[in-house]
Amino acid sequence: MSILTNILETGTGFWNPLLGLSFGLIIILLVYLIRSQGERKYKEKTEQTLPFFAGNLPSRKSLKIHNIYWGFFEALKEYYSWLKAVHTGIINDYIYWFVTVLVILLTILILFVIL
Amino acid sequence: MLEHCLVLLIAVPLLAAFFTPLAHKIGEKLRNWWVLFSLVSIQFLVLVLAKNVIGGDIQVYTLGAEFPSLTSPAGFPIRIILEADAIAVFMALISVFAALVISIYSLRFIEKYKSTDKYYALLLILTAGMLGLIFSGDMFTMFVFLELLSIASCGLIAFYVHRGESLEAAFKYIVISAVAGLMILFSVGFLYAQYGLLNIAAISSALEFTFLDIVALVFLVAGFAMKCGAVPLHLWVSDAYGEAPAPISAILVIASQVSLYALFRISFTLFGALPLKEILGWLVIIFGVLSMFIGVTMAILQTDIKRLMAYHAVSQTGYMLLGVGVGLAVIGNTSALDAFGITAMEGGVFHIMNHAIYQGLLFLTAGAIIYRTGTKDLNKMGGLAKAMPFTAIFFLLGSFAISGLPPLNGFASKLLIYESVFRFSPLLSIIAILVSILTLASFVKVFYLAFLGSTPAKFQKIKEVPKSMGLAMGILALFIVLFGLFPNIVVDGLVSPAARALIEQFQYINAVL
Repeated sequence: MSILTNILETGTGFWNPLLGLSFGLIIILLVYLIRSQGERKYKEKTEQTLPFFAGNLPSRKSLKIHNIYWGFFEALKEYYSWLKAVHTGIINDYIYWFVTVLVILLTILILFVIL
Repeated sequence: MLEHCLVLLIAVPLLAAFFTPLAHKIGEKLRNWWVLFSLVSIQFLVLVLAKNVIGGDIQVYTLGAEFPSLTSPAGFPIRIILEADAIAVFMALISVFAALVISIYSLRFIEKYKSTDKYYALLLILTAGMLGLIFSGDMFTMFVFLELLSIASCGLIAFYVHRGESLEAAFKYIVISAVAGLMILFSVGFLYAQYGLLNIAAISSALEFTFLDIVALVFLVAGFAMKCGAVPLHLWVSDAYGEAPAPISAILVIASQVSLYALFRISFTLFGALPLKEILGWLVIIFGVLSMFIGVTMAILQTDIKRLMAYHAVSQTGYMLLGVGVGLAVIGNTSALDAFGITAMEGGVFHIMNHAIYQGLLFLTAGAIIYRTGTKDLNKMGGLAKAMPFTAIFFLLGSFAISGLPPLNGFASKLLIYESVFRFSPLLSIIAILVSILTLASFVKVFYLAFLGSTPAKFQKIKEVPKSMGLAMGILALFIVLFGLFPNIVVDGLVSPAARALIEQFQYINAVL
């Protein structure tokens, strides 16, 4: 099989992983070449590494990975309060949901048949 | 041997399970070799069967008949009939492969615990349960193997008997399994009471679209939706997957997918003749969208690595439901089916296989972390990439695959789903893409917390996991890359025949009648 015939047809387009990977490798090579043209006198762990060095910098220790999702959780605050309330961990609630789904499915299908 | 392949596929793991404690009495090494040999033999049998069936043939086996292909001596099927078409063999290949990889991983993972003989015996019984459910040609046998699967799974979830949480998770699992099983048994009763038949093909051709048929359909759909962990019937998943040993969480994913297969078999084959396919397809799509979105949004919240992955498993099940649901919704419309319906189903079916591989790998990497650190709490981990570089690489591969990043296997199946579902409803496709982005966001957090940053003092001296555990993870990682680089070979050779087997229900029915 050649690199050009390794094609996954998607109905509206196609995906050739080997060709995609080749382009990826070319891009990585280009990035490496551009990077290698950079400043050679760069010194690690000096002020050169800071984007800005004036002003009061926040303590890095107070920042955690979870903080990057703050905006997401804040925007969906009401959704999450409902979601947490649903996930009680109580087995009775699991069965209530099952019965609810049974009733909804039965109602929909019967209405569909009648109408 | 080919003639008896189907029955051997169920008999071998069952017999192997009962001989496992005896082999354990002689020695643990012999027991390990016995389990591995049994699973390799079953894998060989599945491959032999696949060679015959994937080409389009359907193989049947009538238990107790004069010869195995004698399915209806009195004009209708009266015996237990096993039936294998391309989708059944596809599921069997995944199930046995997963059981084999998990057994290799478990060799060192569980060696420090007592009752390892029971662990392997239950794992083999679970494998027999999955294979029995997959190949069952009649509803009651399907129910029996579902019960076998559930009981073995419950025992394995409760493996850490000294932990209250594990026992509670097992209790919850057996309760929901019993309720789902009861509903399935009721529906079998409704069908038998009306038609005097248990065989899927025979019932399918005899259906008269009565009120009881609709009730039976609802009970079956709800029962199998609960067993496969579709939202809002997913609440047990985080408990069971989260508290079971990591390799068992990986095989539970497969067990859930076997229930998903049963849901598809019911929708396409058993009730394929009823004029309800469009509405049924939409119901499956709604289950899928809810599973995708609620699963991933719950996963982002988690700090327990196993529970986080459990919610991702729920979310990924949504993609399969969405893909196959779209196919089901347009099955009556030939032009839509040809234009995008078959591709959507191929995407959904391919995702079953891909999900089994990358979700299995992710659970095994979680197990590797827990094996070395003794904690599931992500906030207590850190800097493990230095001490466990191979586990870190395997985790990254699994994370990229589940997030649908090219060129890994998850991307290939998701691309089929995105593009085909877009032609059905652009909104559904956009939701699917959004869920993939959220999945990546969730795994960025996990990778950072577990593998990057500073290493806590108590983890300074930890090492990489033993070789057998690394080998099991490596096998899955290899398949993630191979299926990602050569998806067309898998789709043409396995996935497409499996999807078409679901659509072409008359071939399944004609093989028995």
